[in-house]
Amino acid sequence: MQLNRKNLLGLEFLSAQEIKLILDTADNFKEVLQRKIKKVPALRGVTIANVFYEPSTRTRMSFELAEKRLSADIINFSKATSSVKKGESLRDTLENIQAMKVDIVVMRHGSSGAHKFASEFLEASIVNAGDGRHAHPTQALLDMLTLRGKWGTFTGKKVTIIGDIMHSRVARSNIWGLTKMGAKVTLCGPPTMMPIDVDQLGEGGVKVEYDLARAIENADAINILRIQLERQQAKLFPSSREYFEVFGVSPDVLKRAPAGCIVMHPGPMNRGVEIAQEVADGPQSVILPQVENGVAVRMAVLFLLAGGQAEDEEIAS
Amino acid sequence: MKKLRKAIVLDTSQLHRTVTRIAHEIIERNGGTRDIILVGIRNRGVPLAERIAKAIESFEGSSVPVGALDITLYRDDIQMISPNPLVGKTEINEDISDRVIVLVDDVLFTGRTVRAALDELTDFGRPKSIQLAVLIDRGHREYPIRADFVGKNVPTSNNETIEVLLNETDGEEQVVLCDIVASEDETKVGKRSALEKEANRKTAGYKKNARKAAPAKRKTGGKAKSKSGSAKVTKAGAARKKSRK
Repeated sequence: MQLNRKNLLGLEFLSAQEIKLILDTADNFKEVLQRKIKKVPALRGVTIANVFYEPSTRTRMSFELAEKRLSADIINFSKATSSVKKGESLRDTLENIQAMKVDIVVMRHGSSGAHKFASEFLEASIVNAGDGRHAHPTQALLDMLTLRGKWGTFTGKKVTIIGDIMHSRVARSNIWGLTKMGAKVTLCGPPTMMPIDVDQLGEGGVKVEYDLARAIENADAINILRIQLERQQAKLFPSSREYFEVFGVSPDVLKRAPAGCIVMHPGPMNRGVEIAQEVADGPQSVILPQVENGVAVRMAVLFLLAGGQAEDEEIAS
Repeated sequence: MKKLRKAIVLDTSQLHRTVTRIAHEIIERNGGTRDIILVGIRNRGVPLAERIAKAIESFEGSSVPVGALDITLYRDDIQMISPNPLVGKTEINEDISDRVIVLVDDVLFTGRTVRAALDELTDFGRPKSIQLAVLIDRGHREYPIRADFVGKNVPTSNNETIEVLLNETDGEEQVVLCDIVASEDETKVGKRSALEKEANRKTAGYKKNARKAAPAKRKTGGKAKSKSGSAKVTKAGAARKKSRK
Protein backbone atom coordinates (compact mmCIF):
# COMPACT_ATOMS: atom_id res chain seq x y z
CA MET A 1 0.00 0.00 0.00
CA GLN A 2 1.33 3.39 -0.95
CA LEU A 3 0.07 6.92 -0.94
CA ASN A 4 0.17 7.85 -4.61
CA ARG A 5 -1.06 11.34 -4.06
CA LYS A 6 0.10 14.84 -4.54
CA ASN A 7 -2.27 16.61 -2.18
CA LEU A 8 -4.14 16.05 1.03
CA LEU A 9 -7.34 18.00 0.63
CA GLY A 10 -9.77 16.01 2.75
CA LEU A 11 -10.30 12.55 4.14
CA GLU A 12 -13.37 11.99 1.96
CA PHE A 13 -10.97 11.49 -0.97
CA LEU A 14 -8.86 8.85 0.77
CA SER A 15 -9.52 5.14 0.96
CA ALA A 16 -9.53 3.24 4.25
CA GLN A 17 -6.21 1.65 3.23
CA GLU A 18 -4.64 5.03 2.64
CA ILE A 19 -5.83 6.30 6.01
CA LYS A 20 -4.43 3.18 7.61
CA LEU A 21 -1.10 3.73 5.86
CA ILE A 22 -0.89 7.27 7.24
CA LEU A 23 -1.74 6.08 10.75
CA ASP A 24 0.75 3.20 10.57
CA THR A 25 3.47 5.53 9.36
CA ALA A 26 2.59 8.01 12.10
CA ASP A 27 2.85 5.25 14.69
CA ASN A 28 6.40 4.62 13.55
CA PHE A 29 7.20 8.33 13.60
CA LYS A 30 6.09 8.49 17.24
CA GLU A 31 9.21 6.53 18.06
CA VAL A 32 11.37 9.19 16.38
CA LEU A 33 9.85 11.75 18.74
CA GLN A 34 11.02 9.75 21.75
CA ARG A 35 14.65 9.80 20.68
CA LYS A 36 17.29 11.99 22.19
CA ILE A 37 17.90 13.57 18.81
CA LYS A 38 14.38 14.02 17.50
CA LYS A 39 15.34 14.61 13.92
CA VAL A 40 15.72 12.43 10.87
CA PRO A 41 17.14 13.45 7.49
CA ALA A 42 14.20 12.13 5.47
CA LEU A 43 13.05 15.42 3.88
CA ARG A 44 16.43 17.06 3.53
CA GLY A 45 16.27 19.44 0.59
CA VAL A 46 12.49 19.63 0.56
CA THR A 47 11.11 23.13 1.02
CA ILE A 48 7.78 23.61 2.73
CA ALA A 49 5.76 26.81 2.97
CA ASN A 50 3.34 27.23 5.84
CA VAL A 51 0.67 29.56 4.55
CA PHE A 52 -1.77 30.55 7.26
CA TYR A 53 -4.61 32.85 6.38
CA GLU A 54 -6.26 32.16 9.72
CA PRO A 55 -4.82 32.20 13.21
CA SER A 56 -3.56 28.95 14.65
CA THR A 57 -1.42 27.83 17.57
CA ARG A 58 -1.44 24.06 17.62
CA THR A 59 -1.75 23.23 13.96
CA ARG A 60 0.89 25.67 12.85
CA MET A 61 3.41 24.81 15.53
CA SER A 62 2.74 21.15 15.06
CA PHE A 63 3.31 21.38 11.30
CA GLU A 64 6.43 23.45 11.81
CA LEU A 65 7.81 20.99 14.30
CA ALA A 66 6.97 18.04 12.06
CA GLU A 67 8.76 19.73 9.18
CA LYS A 68 11.81 20.45 11.30
CA ARG A 69 11.91 16.91 12.66
CA LEU A 70 12.07 15.71 9.08
CA SER A 71 14.88 18.17 8.22
CA ALA A 72 12.84 20.09 5.65
CA ASP A 73 13.52 23.77 4.98
CA ILE A 74 10.55 25.88 5.94
CA ILE A 75 9.21 29.32 5.25
CA ASN A 76 6.28 30.86 7.02
CA PHE A 77 3.56 33.14 5.85
CA SER A 78 0.86 34.76 7.89
CA LYS A 79 -1.84 36.94 6.55
CA ALA A 80 -1.36 39.77 8.99
CA THR A 81 2.24 40.53 8.02
CA SER A 82 2.02 39.83 4.28
CA SER A 83 1.09 41.58 1.08
CA VAL A 84 -2.42 40.21 1.44
CA LYS A 85 -2.85 43.43 3.36
CA LYS A 86 -2.05 45.23 0.12
CA GLY A 87 -4.72 43.29 -1.71
CA GLU A 88 -2.74 40.44 -3.24
CA SER A 89 -5.00 37.58 -4.26
CA LEU A 90 -4.70 33.99 -3.07
CA ARG A 91 -3.67 32.81 -6.50
CA ASP A 92 -0.97 35.45 -6.89
CA THR A 93 0.32 34.81 -3.41
CA LEU A 94 0.59 31.07 -3.95
CA GLU A 95 2.13 31.37 -7.39
CA ASN A 96 4.74 33.71 -6.02
CA ILE A 97 5.50 31.34 -3.19
CA GLN A 98 5.79 28.52 -5.67
CA ALA A 99 8.14 30.58 -7.83
CA MET A 100 10.56 30.40 -4.93
CA LYS A 101 10.77 26.66 -5.56
CA VAL A 102 8.61 25.34 -2.81
CA ASP A 103 7.77 21.64 -2.85
CA ILE A 104 4.90 21.50 -0.37
CA VAL A 105 2.42 24.16 0.67
CA VAL A 106 0.71 23.68 4.01
CA MET A 107 -2.23 26.03 3.99
CA ARG A 108 -5.02 27.18 6.23
CA HIS A 109 -7.66 29.35 4.69
CA GLY A 110 -11.02 30.68 5.76
CA SER A 111 -12.80 29.68 2.57
CA SER A 112 -14.01 26.14 2.10
CA GLY A 113 -12.50 24.77 -1.08
CA ALA A 114 -9.53 27.15 -1.17
CA HIS A 115 -7.19 24.18 -1.34
CA LYS A 116 -9.10 22.54 -4.15
CA PHE A 117 -8.86 25.80 -6.05
CA ALA A 118 -5.14 26.06 -5.34
CA SER A 119 -4.52 22.46 -6.34
CA GLU A 120 -5.75 23.29 -9.82
CA PHE A 121 -2.86 25.61 -10.61
CA LEU A 122 -0.12 24.72 -8.13
CA GLU A 123 2.54 22.20 -8.97
CA ALA A 124 3.59 21.96 -5.37
CA SER A 125 1.79 19.51 -3.09
CA ILE A 126 -0.93 21.03 -0.97
CA VAL A 127 -1.69 19.95 2.55
CA ASN A 128 -4.94 21.17 4.00
CA ALA A 129 -4.42 22.60 7.46
CA GLY A 130 -8.05 23.69 7.59
CA ASP A 131 -10.27 25.28 4.98
CA GLY A 132 -13.34 27.15 6.16
CA ARG A 133 -15.91 24.71 7.40
CA HIS A 134 -14.92 22.00 4.94
CA ALA A 135 -12.05 19.90 6.24
CA HIS A 136 -9.15 19.66 8.65
CA PRO A 137 -7.76 16.27 7.70
CA THR A 138 -4.63 16.22 9.86
CA GLN A 139 -6.69 17.01 12.96
CA ALA A 140 -9.00 14.10 12.22
CA LEU A 141 -6.01 11.86 11.56
CA LEU A 142 -4.43 12.74 14.90
CA ASP A 143 -7.75 12.19 16.65
CA MET A 144 -7.90 8.79 14.98
CA LEU A 145 -4.31 7.98 15.86
CA THR A 146 -5.11 8.77 19.49
CA LEU A 147 -8.20 6.58 19.44
CA ARG A 148 -6.47 3.73 17.64
CA GLY A 149 -3.68 3.86 20.20
CA LYS A 150 -6.30 3.25 22.91
CA TRP A 151 -8.48 0.77 21.05
CA GLY A 152 -6.30 -0.95 18.48
CA THR A 153 -9.20 -0.90 16.02
CA PHE A 154 -12.13 1.23 14.88
CA THR A 155 -14.47 -1.55 13.95
CA GLY A 156 -17.75 -1.24 15.84
CA LYS A 157 -16.51 1.63 18.03
CA LYS A 158 -18.91 4.46 18.70
CA VAL A 159 -17.80 8.07 18.61
CA THR A 160 -20.07 10.96 19.49
CA ILE A 161 -19.18 14.40 18.18
CA ILE A 162 -20.75 17.17 20.23
CA GLY A 163 -21.27 20.82 19.47
CA ASP A 164 -21.17 23.16 16.54
CA ILE A 165 -21.18 20.55 13.78
CA MET A 166 -22.21 23.00 11.10
CA HIS A 167 -19.20 25.26 11.36
CA SER A 168 -16.75 22.52 12.20
CA ARG A 169 -14.22 21.28 9.69
CA VAL A 170 -12.87 19.04 12.45
CA ALA A 171 -16.25 17.31 12.68
CA ARG A 172 -16.48 16.78 8.93
CA SER A 173 -13.04 15.30 8.63
CA ASN A 174 -13.58 13.12 11.68
CA ILE A 175 -16.88 11.87 10.29
CA TRP A 176 -15.29 10.85 7.00
CA GLY A 177 -12.22 9.31 8.55
CA LEU A 178 -13.99 7.41 11.31
CA THR A 179 -16.79 6.03 9.17
CA LYS A 180 -14.33 4.89 6.51
CA MET A 181 -12.40 3.00 9.17
CA GLY A 182 -15.54 1.27 10.42
CA ALA A 183 -16.53 3.34 13.45
CA LYS A 184 -20.07 4.56 14.09
CA VAL A 185 -20.49 8.28 14.44
CA THR A 186 -23.26 10.10 16.31
CA LEU A 187 -23.62 13.85 16.08
CA CYS A 188 -25.10 15.92 18.86
CA GLY A 189 -25.65 19.66 19.12
CA PRO A 190 -28.26 22.37 18.93
CA PRO A 191 -30.51 21.92 15.88
CA THR A 192 -29.37 25.34 14.70
CA MET A 193 -25.84 23.97 14.48
CA MET A 194 -26.59 20.84 12.47
CA PRO A 195 -25.50 21.13 8.86
CA ILE A 196 -28.16 20.90 6.18
CA ASP A 197 -26.22 18.17 4.38
CA VAL A 198 -25.93 16.00 7.47
CA ASP A 199 -27.48 13.01 5.70
CA GLN A 200 -24.73 13.11 3.09
CA LEU A 201 -21.87 12.99 5.55
CA GLY A 202 -19.79 9.93 6.23
CA GLU A 203 -19.56 6.54 4.62
CA GLY A 204 -22.75 4.74 5.54
CA GLY A 205 -24.20 7.83 7.18
CA VAL A 206 -24.21 9.19 10.70
CA LYS A 207 -26.74 9.30 13.51
CA VAL A 208 -28.09 12.60 14.76
CA GLU A 209 -29.19 12.93 18.36
CA TYR A 210 -30.29 16.15 20.02
CA ASP A 211 -30.32 14.87 23.57
CA LEU A 212 -26.81 14.92 24.99
CA ALA A 213 -27.34 12.19 27.59
CA ARG A 214 -28.78 9.83 24.99
CA ALA A 215 -26.05 10.69 22.49
CA ILE A 216 -23.26 9.66 24.82
CA GLU A 217 -24.80 6.77 26.74
CA ASN A 218 -23.09 4.15 24.54
CA ALA A 219 -20.15 6.20 23.32
CA ASP A 220 -16.63 4.75 23.39
CA ALA A 221 -15.31 8.25 22.82
CA ILE A 222 -16.70 11.76 22.68
CA ASN A 223 -15.17 14.55 20.67
CA ILE A 224 -16.22 17.93 22.02
CA LEU A 225 -16.03 20.73 19.50
CA ARG A 226 -15.20 24.31 20.16
CA ILE A 227 -18.04 26.77 19.83
CA GLN A 228 -16.72 28.84 16.96
CA LEU A 229 -17.94 32.28 17.75
CA GLU A 230 -15.89 33.76 14.90
CA ARG A 231 -17.72 31.74 12.24
CA GLN A 232 -21.24 32.62 13.34
CA GLN A 233 -23.13 35.14 11.40
CA ALA A 234 -26.27 34.99 13.49
CA LYS A 235 -26.65 33.99 17.11
CA LEU A 236 -27.37 30.29 17.07
CA PHE A 237 -27.85 29.83 20.80
CA PRO A 238 -29.02 32.26 23.46
CA SER A 239 -25.96 32.41 25.68
CA SER A 240 -22.79 30.57 26.56
CA ARG A 241 -24.22 29.69 29.95
CA GLU A 242 -27.33 28.23 28.43
CA TYR A 243 -25.22 26.28 25.95
CA PHE A 244 -23.24 24.79 28.81
CA GLU A 245 -26.43 23.81 30.60
CA VAL A 246 -27.77 21.88 27.59
CA PHE A 247 -24.77 20.74 25.56
CA GLY A 248 -21.75 21.37 27.77
CA VAL A 249 -19.95 18.27 29.04
CA SER A 250 -19.81 18.50 32.81
CA PRO A 251 -18.68 15.74 35.19
CA ASP A 252 -22.34 14.89 35.79
CA VAL A 253 -23.04 14.56 32.09
CA LEU A 254 -19.95 12.45 31.59
CA LYS A 255 -21.25 9.99 34.20
CA ARG A 256 -23.96 9.10 31.72
CA ALA A 257 -21.34 7.76 29.33
CA PRO A 258 -19.65 4.36 29.80
CA ALA A 259 -16.80 4.39 32.33
CA GLY A 260 -14.01 4.02 29.76
CA CYS A 261 -15.31 6.71 27.45
CA ILE A 262 -12.46 8.78 26.02
CA VAL A 263 -12.83 12.57 26.02
CA MET A 264 -11.32 14.53 23.15
CA HIS A 265 -11.25 18.18 22.19
CA PRO A 266 -9.44 19.61 19.16
CA GLY A 267 -8.64 22.86 20.98
CA PRO A 268 -8.63 25.69 21.65
CA MET A 269 -11.04 25.01 24.49
CA ASN A 270 -13.67 27.36 25.83
CA ARG A 271 -13.59 26.01 29.35
CA GLY A 272 -16.99 26.33 30.93
CA VAL A 273 -18.81 26.61 27.58
CA GLU A 274 -18.54 23.30 25.74
CA ILE A 275 -16.41 21.48 28.29
CA ALA A 276 -16.11 21.74 32.05
CA GLN A 277 -12.77 22.29 33.71
CA GLU A 278 -12.92 18.95 35.55
CA VAL A 279 -13.66 17.04 32.35
CA ALA A 280 -10.94 18.74 30.34
CA ASP A 281 -8.33 17.90 32.97
CA GLY A 282 -9.91 14.62 34.07
CA PRO A 283 -8.59 11.08 33.75
CA GLN A 284 -10.67 10.30 30.67
CA SER A 285 -9.27 13.25 28.77
CA VAL A 286 -6.72 12.66 26.01
CA ILE A 287 -6.55 16.28 24.95
CA LEU A 288 -2.80 16.63 25.46
CA PRO A 289 -1.93 13.23 23.94
CA GLN A 290 -3.92 14.41 20.91
CA VAL A 291 -1.55 17.33 20.53
CA GLU A 292 1.44 15.03 20.95
CA ASN A 293 0.14 12.73 18.21
CA GLY A 294 -0.36 15.73 15.95
CA VAL A 295 3.34 16.04 15.24
CA ALA A 296 3.70 12.36 14.32
CA VAL A 297 0.65 12.46 12.06
CA ARG A 298 1.89 15.54 10.25
CA MET A 299 5.32 14.00 9.81
CA ALA A 300 3.66 10.97 8.26
CA VAL A 301 1.51 13.05 5.91
CA LEU A 302 4.42 15.22 4.76
CA PHE A 303 6.73 12.26 4.35
CA LEU A 304 4.22 10.28 2.33
CA LEU A 305 3.20 13.23 0.16
CA ALA A 306 6.81 14.19 -0.50
CA GLY A 307 7.12 10.90 -2.32
CA GLY A 308 3.79 11.26 -4.06
CA GLN A 309 3.29 11.72 -7.74
CA ALA A 310 1.12 14.11 -9.67
CA GLU A 311 0.34 11.89 -12.57
CA ASP A 312 -2.52 9.41 -12.57
CA GLU A 313 -4.51 11.46 -10.15
CA GLU A 314 -7.91 11.49 -11.63
CA ILE A 315 -9.97 12.68 -8.69
CA ALA A 316 -9.24 15.92 -6.96
CA SER A 317 -6.45 14.86 -4.65
CA MET B 1 11.72 -8.01 -13.00
CA LYS B 2 11.98 -11.65 -12.25
CA LYS B 3 14.43 -13.53 -10.19
CA LEU B 4 15.40 -17.02 -11.23
CA ARG B 5 16.97 -19.14 -8.55
CA LYS B 6 20.04 -20.87 -9.86
CA ALA B 7 22.12 -22.11 -6.93
CA ILE B 8 21.82 -22.69 -3.23
CA VAL B 9 24.46 -20.74 -1.36
CA LEU B 10 23.56 -22.04 2.09
CA ASP B 11 21.04 -24.75 2.84
CA THR B 12 19.06 -24.85 6.06
CA SER B 13 21.67 -26.58 8.20
CA GLN B 14 24.54 -24.57 6.72
CA LEU B 15 22.58 -21.43 7.44
CA HIS B 16 22.16 -22.43 11.07
CA ARG B 17 25.80 -23.39 11.45
CA THR B 18 26.87 -20.09 9.92
CA VAL B 19 24.76 -18.08 12.36
CA THR B 20 26.22 -20.12 15.22
CA ARG B 21 29.76 -19.47 14.01
CA ILE B 22 29.12 -15.73 13.75
CA ALA B 23 27.83 -15.81 17.33
CA HIS B 24 31.05 -17.53 18.46
CA GLU B 25 33.18 -15.03 16.60
CA ILE B 26 31.40 -12.10 18.19
CA ILE B 27 32.08 -13.47 21.67
CA GLU B 28 35.66 -14.32 20.77
CA ARG B 29 36.40 -10.91 19.35
CA ASN B 30 34.87 -9.08 22.29
CA GLY B 31 36.13 -11.42 24.99
CA GLY B 32 32.63 -12.15 26.22
CA THR B 33 29.27 -10.48 26.00
CA ARG B 34 29.90 -7.43 28.13
CA ASP B 35 28.51 -4.17 26.74
CA ILE B 36 27.31 -5.82 23.54
CA ILE B 37 24.04 -4.80 21.92
CA LEU B 38 22.98 -6.56 18.75
CA VAL B 39 21.13 -4.28 16.36
CA GLY B 40 19.43 -5.85 13.34
CA ILE B 41 18.77 -3.79 10.24
CA ARG B 42 15.21 -4.22 9.02
CA ASN B 43 13.92 -6.43 7.69
CA ARG B 44 15.97 -9.61 7.76
CA GLY B 45 18.74 -8.33 9.97
CA VAL B 46 16.33 -8.38 12.89
CA PRO B 47 15.56 -12.12 12.98
CA LEU B 48 19.24 -12.81 12.31
CA ALA B 49 20.23 -10.62 15.28
CA GLU B 50 17.71 -12.47 17.42
CA ARG B 51 19.14 -15.81 16.36
CA ILE B 52 22.68 -14.69 17.11
CA ALA B 53 21.54 -13.44 20.52
CA LYS B 54 19.90 -16.77 21.25
CA ALA B 55 23.05 -18.64 20.23
CA ILE B 56 25.21 -16.39 22.39
CA GLU B 57 22.91 -16.95 25.34
CA SER B 58 23.12 -20.70 24.90
CA PHE B 59 26.94 -20.76 25.03
CA GLU B 60 27.58 -17.98 27.49
CA GLY B 61 24.53 -18.13 29.69
CA SER B 62 24.14 -14.38 29.60
CA SER B 63 21.69 -12.62 27.37
CA VAL B 64 22.52 -9.73 25.07
CA PRO B 65 19.98 -7.07 24.21
CA VAL B 66 18.64 -6.96 20.65
CA GLY B 67 17.44 -3.84 18.86
CA ALA B 68 15.93 -3.16 15.46
CA LEU B 69 16.95 -0.38 13.13
CA ASP B 70 14.82 0.92 10.27
CA ILE B 71 17.00 3.00 7.99
CA THR B 72 14.28 4.30 5.65
CA LEU B 73 14.47 7.86 6.93
CA TYR B 74 18.25 7.90 6.53
CA ARG B 75 18.44 6.61 2.97
CA ASP B 76 20.51 8.67 0.57
CA ASP B 77 18.13 8.10 -2.32
CA ILE B 78 14.87 8.95 -0.62
CA GLN B 79 14.33 12.00 -2.85
CA MET B 80 14.80 9.82 -5.91
CA ILE B 81 12.21 7.22 -5.09
CA SER B 82 8.56 7.85 -5.58
CA PRO B 83 6.37 7.10 -3.80
CA ASN B 84 8.28 7.15 -0.59
CA PRO B 85 9.03 3.77 0.93
CA LEU B 86 7.27 2.51 4.01
CA VAL B 87 8.68 3.54 7.34
CA GLY B 88 9.33 0.79 9.84
CA LYS B 89 9.95 1.08 13.51
CA THR B 90 13.35 1.51 15.08
CA GLU B 91 13.45 -0.14 18.47
CA ILE B 92 16.55 0.36 20.53
CA ASN B 93 15.55 0.26 24.15
CA GLU B 94 18.99 0.60 25.67
CA ASP B 95 21.24 3.59 25.90
CA ILE B 96 23.91 2.83 23.32
CA SER B 97 26.50 5.20 24.74
CA ASP B 98 29.73 3.39 25.56
CA ARG B 99 28.33 0.07 24.40
CA VAL B 100 29.62 -2.21 21.69
CA ILE B 101 27.08 -2.26 18.90
CA VAL B 102 27.05 -5.20 16.55
CA LEU B 103 25.04 -4.27 13.49
CA VAL B 104 23.48 -7.29 11.84
CA ASP B 105 22.26 -7.49 8.26
CA ASP B 106 21.64 -10.31 5.84
CA VAL B 107 23.58 -9.22 2.78
CA LEU B 108 26.38 -6.67 2.44
CA PHE B 109 26.39 -5.17 -1.04
CA THR B 110 27.06 -1.50 -1.89
CA GLY B 111 27.49 -0.46 1.74
CA ARG B 112 24.86 2.25 1.47
CA THR B 113 22.49 0.58 3.88
CA VAL B 114 25.28 0.31 6.43
CA ARG B 115 26.17 3.95 5.88
CA ALA B 116 22.58 4.92 6.65
CA ALA B 117 22.55 2.63 9.68
CA LEU B 118 25.74 4.22 11.03
CA ASP B 119 24.23 7.68 10.65
CA GLU B 120 21.08 6.65 12.42
CA LEU B 121 22.93 4.87 15.23
CA THR B 122 25.11 7.85 15.97
CA ASP B 123 21.96 9.92 16.39
CA PHE B 124 21.08 7.62 19.28
CA GLY B 125 24.31 8.12 21.16
CA ARG B 126 28.03 7.58 21.07
CA PRO B 127 28.81 3.88 21.13
CA LYS B 128 32.23 2.64 22.19
CA SER B 129 32.49 0.81 18.90
CA ILE B 130 30.33 -0.46 16.08
CA GLN B 131 30.96 -3.80 14.47
CA LEU B 132 29.24 -5.28 11.46
CA ALA B 133 28.03 -8.84 11.05
CA VAL B 134 26.53 -10.02 7.77
CA LEU B 135 25.39 -13.42 6.63
CA ILE B 136 26.53 -12.89 3.03
CA ASP B 137 29.06 -10.49 1.57
CA ARG B 138 28.39 -10.30 -2.15
CA GLY B 139 30.93 -7.62 -3.04
CA HIS B 140 30.35 -4.50 -5.22
CA ARG B 141 31.04 -2.01 -2.45
CA GLU B 142 30.47 1.64 -3.29
CA TYR B 143 31.45 2.97 0.12
CA PRO B 144 34.52 2.16 2.19
CA ILE B 145 32.74 -0.27 4.46
CA ARG B 146 33.72 -3.79 5.45
CA ALA B 147 32.19 -6.37 7.71
CA ASP B 148 33.80 -7.68 10.90
CA PHE B 149 31.93 -10.97 10.81
CA VAL B 150 30.99 -12.58 7.52
CA GLY B 151 28.96 -15.75 7.17
CA LYS B 152 30.03 -16.40 3.62
CA ASN B 153 31.70 -14.42 0.85
CA VAL B 154 29.82 -14.92 -2.40
CA PRO B 155 31.27 -13.26 -5.50
CA THR B 156 28.37 -12.13 -7.67
CA SER B 157 27.81 -10.26 -10.89
CA ASN B 158 25.52 -7.29 -11.25
CA ASN B 159 22.93 -9.46 -12.95
CA GLU B 160 22.68 -11.66 -9.93
CA THR B 161 21.17 -11.20 -6.55
CA ILE B 162 21.24 -13.05 -3.25
CA GLU B 163 18.06 -14.05 -1.52
CA VAL B 164 18.23 -14.77 2.17
CA LEU B 165 15.09 -16.62 3.16
CA LEU B 166 14.23 -16.98 6.83
CA ASN B 167 11.32 -18.69 8.52
CA GLU B 168 10.36 -15.52 10.36
CA THR B 169 10.00 -13.44 7.22
CA ASP B 170 9.69 -15.86 4.32
CA GLY B 171 8.57 -19.21 5.63
CA GLU B 172 11.64 -21.02 4.35
CA GLU B 173 15.25 -21.34 5.44
CA GLN B 174 18.01 -21.01 2.89
CA VAL B 175 20.20 -18.61 0.94
CA VAL B 176 19.97 -18.74 -2.83
CA LEU B 177 21.76 -17.10 -5.72
CA CYS B 178 19.40 -15.76 -8.38
CA ASP B 179 19.64 -14.35 -11.87
CA ILE B 180 17.82 -11.10 -12.42
CA VAL B 181 15.75 -11.13 -15.58
CA ALA B 182 14.09 -7.91 -16.64
CA SER B 183 10.48 -8.35 -17.66
CA GLU B 184 9.09 -6.65 -20.74
CA ASP B 185 7.49 -3.57 -19.23
CA GLU B 186 10.69 -2.82 -17.41
CA THR B 187 12.90 -2.92 -20.45
CA LYS B 188 10.64 -0.24 -21.84
CA VAL B 189 11.21 1.93 -18.80
CA GLY B 190 14.93 1.46 -19.25
CA LYS B 191 17.23 3.86 -17.44
CA ARG B 192 17.12 2.59 -13.93
CA SER B 193 18.53 -0.86 -13.87
CA ALA B 194 16.54 -3.79 -12.72
CA LEU B 195 19.12 -4.34 -10.07
CA GLU B 196 18.64 -0.92 -8.64
CA LYS B 197 14.92 -1.36 -8.39
CA GLU B 198 15.43 -4.69 -6.82
CA ALA B 199 17.77 -3.21 -4.29
CA ASN B 200 15.38 -0.35 -3.56
CA ARG B 201 12.67 -2.77 -2.84
CA LYS B 202 14.71 -4.45 -0.20
CA THR B 203 15.69 -1.41 1.78
CA ALA B 204 12.21 -0.06 1.45
CA GLY B 205 11.03 -3.05 3.35
CA TYR B 206 8.82 -4.27 0.59
CA LYS B 207 8.27 -7.92 0.31
CA LYS B 208 6.93 -9.46 -2.78
CA ASN B 209 6.05 -13.11 -2.65
CA ALA B 210 7.98 -13.22 0.57
CA ARG B 211 11.15 -13.03 -1.45
CA LYS B 212 14.38 -11.38 -0.67
CA ALA B 213 16.27 -8.81 -2.61
CA ALA B 214 19.77 -7.46 -2.62
CA PRO B 215 20.90 -5.68 0.51
CA ALA B 216 21.48 -2.13 -0.50
CA LYS B 217 20.11 0.29 -2.96
CA ARG B 218 22.22 1.24 -5.91
CA LYS B 219 22.24 4.64 -7.32
CA THR B 220 23.01 4.12 -10.95
CA GLY B 221 23.05 6.71 -13.65
CA GLY B 222 23.05 10.43 -13.19
CA LYS B 223 22.25 11.86 -9.84
CA ALA B 224 20.05 14.53 -11.33
CA LYS B 225 17.28 12.16 -12.15
CA SER B 226 14.14 14.17 -12.63
CA LYS B 227 11.35 13.56 -10.22
CA SER B 228 8.94 12.66 -12.99
CA GLY B 229 11.46 10.26 -14.40
CA SER B 230 11.73 8.26 -11.26
CA ALA B 231 8.02 8.52 -10.70
CA LYS B 232 7.40 6.76 -13.95
CA VAL B 233 9.70 3.98 -13.02
CA THR B 234 8.08 3.28 -9.74
CA LYS B 235 4.67 3.48 -11.24
CA ALA B 236 5.36 0.21 -12.89
CA GLY B 237 6.63 -0.97 -9.54
CA ALA B 238 3.53 0.22 -7.76
CA ALA B 239 1.40 -1.69 -10.18
CA ARG B 240 2.98 -4.84 -8.93
CA LYS B 241 1.01 -4.30 -5.79
CA LYS B 242 3.58 -4.56 -3.12
CA SER B 243 2.36 -5.41 0.26
CA ARG B 244 4.14 -5.27 3.50
CA LYS B 245 4.06 -8.01 6.08
